[in-house]
Amino acid sequence: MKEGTTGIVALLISISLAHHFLHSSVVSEVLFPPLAFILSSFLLVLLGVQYFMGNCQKPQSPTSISSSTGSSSEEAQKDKTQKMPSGDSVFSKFLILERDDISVEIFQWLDSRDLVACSQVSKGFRHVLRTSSNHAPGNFLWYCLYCTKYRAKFVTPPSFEALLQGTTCSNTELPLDAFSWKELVLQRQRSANYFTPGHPCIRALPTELQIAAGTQPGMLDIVNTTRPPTQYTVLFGSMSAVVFQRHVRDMALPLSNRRSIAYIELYVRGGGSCGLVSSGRQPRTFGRQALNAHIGWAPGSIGYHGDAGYIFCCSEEDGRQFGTISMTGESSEASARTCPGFAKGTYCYFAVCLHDQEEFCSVNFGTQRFVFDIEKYSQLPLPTETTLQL
Amino acid sequence: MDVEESTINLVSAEGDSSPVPLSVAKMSELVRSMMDEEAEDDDVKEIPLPNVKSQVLHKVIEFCEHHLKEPMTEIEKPLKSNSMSDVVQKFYADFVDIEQVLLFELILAANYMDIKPLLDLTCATVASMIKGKTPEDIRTTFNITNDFSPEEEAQVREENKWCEEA
Repeated sequence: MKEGTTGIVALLISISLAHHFLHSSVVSEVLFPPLAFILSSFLLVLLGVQYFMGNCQKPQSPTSISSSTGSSSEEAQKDKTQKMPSGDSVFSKFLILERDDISVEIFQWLDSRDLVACSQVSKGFRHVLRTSSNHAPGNFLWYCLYCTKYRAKFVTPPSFEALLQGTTCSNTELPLDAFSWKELVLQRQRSANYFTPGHPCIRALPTELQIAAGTQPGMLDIVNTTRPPTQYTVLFGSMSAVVFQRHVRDMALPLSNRRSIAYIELYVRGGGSCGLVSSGRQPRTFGRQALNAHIGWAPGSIGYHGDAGYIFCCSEEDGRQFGTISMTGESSEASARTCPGFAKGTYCYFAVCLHDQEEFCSVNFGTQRFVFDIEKYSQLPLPTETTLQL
Repeated sequence: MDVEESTINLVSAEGDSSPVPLSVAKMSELVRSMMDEEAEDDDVKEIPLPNVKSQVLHKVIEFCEHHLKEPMTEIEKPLKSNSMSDVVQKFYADFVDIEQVLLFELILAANYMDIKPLLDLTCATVASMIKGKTPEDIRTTFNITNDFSPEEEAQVREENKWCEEA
């Protein structure tokens, strides 16, 4: 474990399929001291992919549910007084008294699985946990659950500068009504189901990379386990890449009404690259020549390279440093030049490449708290597509 | 010995008066705000608590007194265990090892008197009875009737299908 320069790098790639355009803006140059591959560095890479709603998987439509809960909740209230046993149970009393505030106090201690079980208990329970209205106690409950589980004491999005300096910003609350917190909790829970080492999709991934449960619970740790360096690999590294078999569309978080954002965070130790590739096919090894290339070198890939701090697109260095890329795909000369294989909706699988033996990264597919405040980010206006700040 | 430590009388629903040290009584935000309002007239004061029965009030005072000596460890969210003794110190775990009726009264009192740690403890205790259980178990624990029609039940289950994956 080499002690190298420590840098925190954050990358947000946003794609919208409605337009065809590529742009990037540098958030902070200070963040990206170019590092040699050999130089071990600790990077934190944030990758987000966003689609316009029209093209993305819509969060579960509440309409069918809400109409039924709307009517059933009235019945439920009637039923509560009639059917609830006058008995000796704590809960039935709160439900009879319609003390939703107290029910929420109780429910707040449970995790999402238990809340789901509760919502199947009776109409009274369901009423408290329903999310048909954003003002319902249920939404607040799921909000609290989301915050404790995924935001913790995270109050505001730190600016990138603040992240680097380790300073925090002042407290701002997220607008409660702006999110369907239940959907958010459930989506992240689904990711947790999916991105575990035991899941068939993870087990099937290539063996040069050892993928295991993270040292931090819920994360996936990836170690490059290629054989000891040969003459060839000393020169060129023994790169090993992996493509995660899940369409980014399915990883999108239902964060806002206008767009949905898929978001992944990585901690990388060593020379790593990450980004999006056009197909779910795994990279191959070809004789001694590694076709396991860094993300962004091969056609049909775009990736951020931690060593150089540049974004590469289909082999060519884009020349842009780290920042927000909005691949909205509008016909743009710049994107056409740098991305020969660029096509609508091309980049849809998340991939990571580790440059050398024993290099390591830890991936958070949304199962854990993010360092970056993605919820806040999702509330910001869409980046203007033509700005290019360098 | 403590000359400084004055007491205050908390009066229960039944009219029983319990003298309580100020520091203990002030754990209740309700009492604290009532005292702030009344400024500093005289030493002996009475705070009427018409919503709290004597039996419950005694429990509340017991909690507050102990909390000053040995503050309760903050309970983690979401709850990590079904047993409160894994979550809080022995005193507190024993404290809530009581009948559901009294637990219910305590929650109401903690809510009314605005005593955050007591509300946390009691509500988390109820939550610990729910944690890890199936809907049917929860109904049994709390004596709740399943008032869903079979269609509604199917619909609810469908909504939550993801939960059974993995």
